Amino acid sequence: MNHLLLLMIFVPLIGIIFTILVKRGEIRTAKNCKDIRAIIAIAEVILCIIALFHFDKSTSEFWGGELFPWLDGFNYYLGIDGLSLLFLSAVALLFLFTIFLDWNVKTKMTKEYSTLFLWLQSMTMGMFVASDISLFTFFFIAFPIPLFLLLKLWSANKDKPFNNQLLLMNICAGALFLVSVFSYPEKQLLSATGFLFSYLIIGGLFPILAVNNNARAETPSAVLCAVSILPVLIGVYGFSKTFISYFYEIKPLFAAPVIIITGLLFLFFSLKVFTQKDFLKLMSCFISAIICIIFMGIFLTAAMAIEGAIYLSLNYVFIVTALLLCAHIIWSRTTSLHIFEINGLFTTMPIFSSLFFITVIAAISFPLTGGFIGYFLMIYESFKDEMFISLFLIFTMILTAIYLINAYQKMMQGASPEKFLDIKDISLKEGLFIILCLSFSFGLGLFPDWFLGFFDNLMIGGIL
Amino acid sequence: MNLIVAFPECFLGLGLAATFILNLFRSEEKGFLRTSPTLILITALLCFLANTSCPELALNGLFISNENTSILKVIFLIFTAACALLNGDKKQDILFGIVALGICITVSSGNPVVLLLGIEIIFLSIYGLFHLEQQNLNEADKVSLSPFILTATLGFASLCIGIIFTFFNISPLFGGAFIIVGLLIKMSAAPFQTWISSTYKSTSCATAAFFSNVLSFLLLFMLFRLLYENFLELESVYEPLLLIVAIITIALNSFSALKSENTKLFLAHASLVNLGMALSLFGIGITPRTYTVLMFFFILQAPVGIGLFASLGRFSLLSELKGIVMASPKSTFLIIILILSLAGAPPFSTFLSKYLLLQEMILPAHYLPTLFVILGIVFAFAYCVKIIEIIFSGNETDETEKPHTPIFMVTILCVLSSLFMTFFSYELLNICKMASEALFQK
Repeated sequence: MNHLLLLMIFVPLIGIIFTILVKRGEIRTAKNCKDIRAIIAIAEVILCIIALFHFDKSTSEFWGGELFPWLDGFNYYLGIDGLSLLFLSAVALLFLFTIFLDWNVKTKMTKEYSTLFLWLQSMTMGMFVASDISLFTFFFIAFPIPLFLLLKLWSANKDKPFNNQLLLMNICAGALFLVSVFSYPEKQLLSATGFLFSYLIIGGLFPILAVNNNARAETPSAVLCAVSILPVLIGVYGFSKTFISYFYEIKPLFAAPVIIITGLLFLFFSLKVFTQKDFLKLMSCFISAIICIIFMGIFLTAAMAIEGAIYLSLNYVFIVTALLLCAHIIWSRTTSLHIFEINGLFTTMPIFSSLFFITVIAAISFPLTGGFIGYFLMIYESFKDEMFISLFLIFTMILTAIYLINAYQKMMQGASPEKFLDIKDISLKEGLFIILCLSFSFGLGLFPDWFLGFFDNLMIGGIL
Repeated sequence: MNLIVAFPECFLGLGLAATFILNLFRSEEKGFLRTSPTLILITALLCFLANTSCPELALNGLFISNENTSILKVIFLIFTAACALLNGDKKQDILFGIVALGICITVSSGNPVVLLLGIEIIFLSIYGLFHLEQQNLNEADKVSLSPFILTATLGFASLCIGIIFTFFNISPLFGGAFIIVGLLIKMSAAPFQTWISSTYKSTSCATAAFFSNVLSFLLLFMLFRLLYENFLELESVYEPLLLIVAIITIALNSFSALKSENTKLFLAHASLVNLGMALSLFGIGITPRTYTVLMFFFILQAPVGIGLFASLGRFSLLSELKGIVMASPKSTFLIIILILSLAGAPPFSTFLSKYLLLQEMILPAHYLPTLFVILGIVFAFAYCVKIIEIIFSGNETDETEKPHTPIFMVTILCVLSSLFMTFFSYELLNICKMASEALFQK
């Protein structure tokens, strides 16, 4: 198991070297680049599976620790706990999913596109295997750069300065994070405020703004997927690993404002959903609303409620990917994502409609899905001390169900227009991919004990 | 007299003299010999070999050699050789050799007068370079060198007065102030940088790269040494002054870089932002740790600056970068790495230099300069975004001139150093600590 964690960071970097060596301007260039990305993504998943099998749940000690001296007070210290391992696995799967999302899509400058994805993968994996806060900072500041470049160069958004502002916002958050790291533990309040804002900006504000402004059918689904999921995972992970454990005593000071703001934002996005006519725009509002709920959960008092928020964020990876693929399939068949223009797809695409329905069911946190477990933990645990929040969470579930099922009904049911009569149902590959995403969400819902077992020792160790 | 101490300088001097004599007898068809980069690199190797742990003096203490001077000479000579390689004009080649000799004399100086001599050798050679470059231009493109001459002379005068005031014990306080101001003028820290906008437009990228990335920092190291060796008791007086200069340098150059359309001006201002950041370290105090961080910062930042001059120098305006992603994807790839390194983005090595710098400033609670350093970094990202936007915009069929082999080689080396220094930063920091210990042993 030597250097397994180190490999997780360096395997994508090796992929970058191979991608650079791919000859440009040939017919097979795009395919070769995708192949390299796919091999790297599969290799990362295999590494995560190996780690999952060898990981010892019974201890709260870091597993696979490796230490290399780097700079003064800045060590290259790798090691994972249960939480890191779950997030690592989710991220490894996410990068595999992005390959599927890109498979039949022709992107311009494929070499650069693949290089940026591999760079992003390396930086993200690095963040989850870092055990030293300085090393975590290194990856935390590094990861938005490839994400920004992907948004900047491949997004369909013509409002380019907006994406520039996103990067600058992230850099400011990164600088704030650095200040927080340096001021800890002498200046607790300054440090906590810095951590809070940088996580909220990178984990919440950044994906919400980026997704809302780039949610267009022309933007590659893989980019949308990465931009809407990775920052959230990093925010949640950062909050759980650093903020809660470092500032457990002063956390209540920030809890009330964060809960109120996220609650209000949830209401804003939920109401905005009802005005949306484009399915992708609707999805971006749904994503924003879920992000608000996840961050609200992190700031609840009960430890199990925090576990619920983490669980919800893991489920979010698979649901958002599946929904984005569904949106991509609809657009590729109908060249439209207008909810009122697309009708009666159930008659022409019955298999897709059924899978889409199950995806919607999973997205509204129906029992047996991971979302339900996450919500259940948050509602159940907060009911004792924070009943109002608990009721609000129930309300959010109902509201989400209303607008998602409503959108599904409008698009799938009713009489099919003549122009949609000839469209083909989904291919076997597309179907299998949706089933794969859903199976992870249902896996989280069906085997919560196994997954929650990874958190148990973290609670004992005082991390959560 | 221990002349072995000054052996690298003697070798370089003799080598340059031999080149000069050989060039006198060469026919015009054959052109001038180009030996400077090789001579400078051999001198750097000699300095490395002559590195001794115990300090040695030569010529009655006029020259000094210890680990600090050896390390400084090796680093500065390597960077000067890189700049000399960028230079395409064989006539100017020997001047780069003289610049390197000036660097050796400056770094090894055991006396302020020798230091002044070294600095003036460098500045006279730079003037020679500027003058020769002017001769190669059309009448319309020529610019007046008066602002540069005036600034350099003012710096020289200030240094002379400072040295007289200090070393004849007239008034060490005023002497110190004059020396600081003289060096700040020479390194073109704000507000003494007005000459840049006119002179840099017509200068070659080799000279501009050398001036803004190597010479400015050399003078910064000399300032540090002078402050430590002669004015340590006046720390409380000059620290606020240097902090103010640092803040103005960061702010002014960040804005100038952001609005620059001329490539060399943009790069010069961006390099001066780094100079301002390094200068802000003086506000913390003259300590071994500050010197270590200063050296670490310089070693990681300078190759990026030189690499950017090498890769972007052939474009006179930033708008000419439009569409180069299609015309020369390899160059674009290198440019993007360098431009991100300039901003200090991880995983490139410059992040570590900025990390150490910020850490050094936050721990003693120097919040105002820290804020400006952070603003400088944010601005650096802003102009990095601007360049990337230009690179990826424009017509896909745009043709661009391919860089010459030595220039491409320098770019590659700079990129590699930016990528791989990250992995060797621990060893690098130890070298910097060694130099710092040697300086503070005194």
